[in-house]
Amino acid sequence: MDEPVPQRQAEWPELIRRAQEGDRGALEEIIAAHESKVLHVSWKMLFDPDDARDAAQEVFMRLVKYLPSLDRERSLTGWFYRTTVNVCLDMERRRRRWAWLPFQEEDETAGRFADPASLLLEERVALSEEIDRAVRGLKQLPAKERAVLVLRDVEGLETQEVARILGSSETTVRSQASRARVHLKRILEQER
Amino acid sequence: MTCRGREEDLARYVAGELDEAACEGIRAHLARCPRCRASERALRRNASALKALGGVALPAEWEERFHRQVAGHLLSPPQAGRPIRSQSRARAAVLTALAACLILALVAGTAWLLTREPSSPGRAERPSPSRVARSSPAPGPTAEPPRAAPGTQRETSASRPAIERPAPRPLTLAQNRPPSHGPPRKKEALVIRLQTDDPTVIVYWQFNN
Repeated sequence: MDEPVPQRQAEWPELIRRAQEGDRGALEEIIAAHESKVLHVSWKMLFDPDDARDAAQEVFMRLVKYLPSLDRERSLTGWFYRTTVNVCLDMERRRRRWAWLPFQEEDETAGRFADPASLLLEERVALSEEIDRAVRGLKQLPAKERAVLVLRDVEGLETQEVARILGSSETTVRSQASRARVHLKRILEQER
Repeated sequence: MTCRGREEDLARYVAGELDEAACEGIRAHLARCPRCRASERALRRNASALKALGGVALPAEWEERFHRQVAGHLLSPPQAGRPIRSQSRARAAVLTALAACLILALVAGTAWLLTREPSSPGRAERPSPSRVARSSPAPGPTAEPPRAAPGTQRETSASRPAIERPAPRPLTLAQNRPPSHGPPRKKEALVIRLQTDDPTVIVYWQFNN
């Protein structure tokens, strides 16, 4: 797992303590160290630049909100993964709730064209055919299966870590992951 | 075990999550099952694609833009913690507010229609006979009888087109009735019952006058 760069793990509790005491610099350091990872995971969960940005932003708002009660001894990276996945699952549910609105899709597309900085990421990142297939398959997976695959196979986290993040047992994660892999395979086979 | 039943085991085998004994069993099956060998190849291809996706970098300017937003909204003192609303969230909020307004307007409109005063023109056109009698200012030998005589009614119906049937006289009597006359009319509460998809959830609105 890519541990956020600038700090040694031992320094996180100290940074959190300073941030909890109102040190804006410490909070900025925590955010700067994690924002890229949070944004990446959000995008891999949602595959929509606008939603990914919203989700990542919500994660940092929760950080500010829950900072006073944040446990300094627990892994901050784990907290970020857990919160990001939860926010993305919430967003996915909201997206489904509004999916019946016929004009929403058109409107979003119009927004993207109006703002070139938020053009569809797939159009701006040269994805190889192989990755493009993975993205298409992941998009069609149910959100919870996608979350397991993103954490386990895309982010490369250990089963134990994924279990901690998702609040389930290792056995459950192994079973969910293998089911999701089979599901992904079938989705991609149907595409042919 | 059928090949289909083995797919999840095969996925675990590809991900390296099986112990050696289980791996041996899978390898023995793969050696004699071309269909599972094809599945194994597809699973390996997907695993490799997922791993490659992990290395995809987001555009630098996109990350910078996000950093500026977060720094600007979460770290600058006057706006700390203030949410930055995206177009989609703002749209959802507006739609929710519109839907709520529509429901409120419907409920309020229904309530108004059902509870409005009896002296309003819609009801005054057809006053009950007893009210006409009560509101007659000085019933005497020459006064209008409480109810139109059957003969008079027939005559009016015959001489006028059907569309002009509402008689103007009762309307005049009802409007002239002093408000203090008669016992106070008891107003009933309006109750609206909304049955949801879930049979255990029923929503009631009660409007007391």
